[in-house]
Amino acid sequence: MLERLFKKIFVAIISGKDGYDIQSVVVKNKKTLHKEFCHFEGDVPSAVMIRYINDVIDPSPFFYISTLNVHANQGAYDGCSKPSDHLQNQDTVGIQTLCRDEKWTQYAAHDALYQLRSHYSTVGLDFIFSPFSMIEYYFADKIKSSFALYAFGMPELFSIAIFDGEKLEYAHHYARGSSKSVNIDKEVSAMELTSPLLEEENTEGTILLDDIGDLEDLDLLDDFGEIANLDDLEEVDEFSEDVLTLEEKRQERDRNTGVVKDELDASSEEYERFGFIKKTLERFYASAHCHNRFIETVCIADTSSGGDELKRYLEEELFLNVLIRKVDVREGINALAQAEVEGL
Amino acid sequence: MKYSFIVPRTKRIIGSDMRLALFFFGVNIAMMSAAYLFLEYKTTIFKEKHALYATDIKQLDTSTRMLEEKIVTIEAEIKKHEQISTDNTVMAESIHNIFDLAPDSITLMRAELEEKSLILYGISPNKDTYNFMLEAPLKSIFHRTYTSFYPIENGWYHFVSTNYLDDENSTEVVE
Repeated sequence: MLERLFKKIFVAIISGKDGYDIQSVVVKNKKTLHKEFCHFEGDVPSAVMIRYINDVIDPSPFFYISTLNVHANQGAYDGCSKPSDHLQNQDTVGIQTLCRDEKWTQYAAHDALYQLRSHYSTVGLDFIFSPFSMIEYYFADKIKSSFALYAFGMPELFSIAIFDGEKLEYAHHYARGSSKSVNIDKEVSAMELTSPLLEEENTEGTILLDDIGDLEDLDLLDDFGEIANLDDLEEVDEFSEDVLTLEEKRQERDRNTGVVKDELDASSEEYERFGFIKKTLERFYASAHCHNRFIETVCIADTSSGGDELKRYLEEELFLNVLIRKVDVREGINALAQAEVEGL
Repeated sequence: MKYSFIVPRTKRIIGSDMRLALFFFGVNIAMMSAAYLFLEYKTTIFKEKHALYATDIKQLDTSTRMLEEKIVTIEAEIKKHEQISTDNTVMAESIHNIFDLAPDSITLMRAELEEKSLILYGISPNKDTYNFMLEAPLKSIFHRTYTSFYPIENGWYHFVSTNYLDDENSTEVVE
């Protein structure tokens, strides 16, 4: 009863390559009073970030801090039976499951959840959501009626689920083991595959992008060193009027390098995702769950700004109808947290 | 738990510092309440006792008054008793004196002794014996003395002697 008198504060924390993205939402009686976004640099929650979160949650005792489980060892399967019935090649002892509407189950490794809780022990966590919950949230309107492939993409992960009228047909979660401070090659080699439904794929353990397609574009990275030659531009007469200092030149060079790298990252990521979808479709069609059905629609909830290339790839190469929804994962997490709190 | 793998931490409306402060406030209030209730209880008990004592005092006052009244009555009765006793003593002495007054030759048959009068009935061998032996002392005592004689068969006389004291009390009469 007293709870109604207080504001509820929802804080979503997303760990990214370049730090932490935080969204705080202040809600009272289901009305959003305030919304704030913030970004903090660092690999671990900094003192500034902790202070910021503490300041945000200070006005109300009813605060809920949520995050997304980005670890590799997670997935989903049809039905609500024991995980040992579905995950033959995995240790199911350390698995925590969450049955959704008695129809399908999400699962995650205990140690991953423990790691997340330890990582955010300074601020504490109230909710840890699965990427499959994000798929369910973002495509709640379509999952009920359509037979389609649904995906949720973040820089750190790509989760794919095939639903047929709320029945989970197939699910697959791709995640990077450790994304911070590794180069692209390492990211590619560390790309982990978790395939709960197809045993033969699990035996592979990892999948290289070479299996998916050419990554010749990545060779461009080798040319980054040549960008240093831009320093020589100061010797060109045309630029003599606008002479840059050494520091400015370094910053300009870094900026150019960053832009090129981001473009390459985005391009390779989209191609990577295309590869995941293609591979998932291949697995699904090869599995016993297919029953000669053909997936025509792909719905992707994407947190990044791109997606056009991926859409083009899917439409042109796989002849799929593609729906890409640009989403803010922090908004989604806070929405799930609100739904969770209302259900308590 | 619909979407989340973990359950949220327990949300407490009151923080630990505030809880501690409230605990001490609560203890304080409880102690004050207990002291207040104790004093209230004692006051009630005291009032009840006070009322009982007041009733006792009233009863004792009534008893005292009754006792005082009894004492007065008893004192009056004592006085009366003493008076009666004195009167009886005086009467007895007077009667004794009267009978002492009578000589052996005169027989007293009846005596009526009142506060200021004495009536004697008797037999005398003759009038002279009576006049000398009995009337003389009676006259010395009483202010007025009247005697009537009635002769009887054997030659003796019945006499009736009526004696009065005018304004002196009987004790003086006796004396």
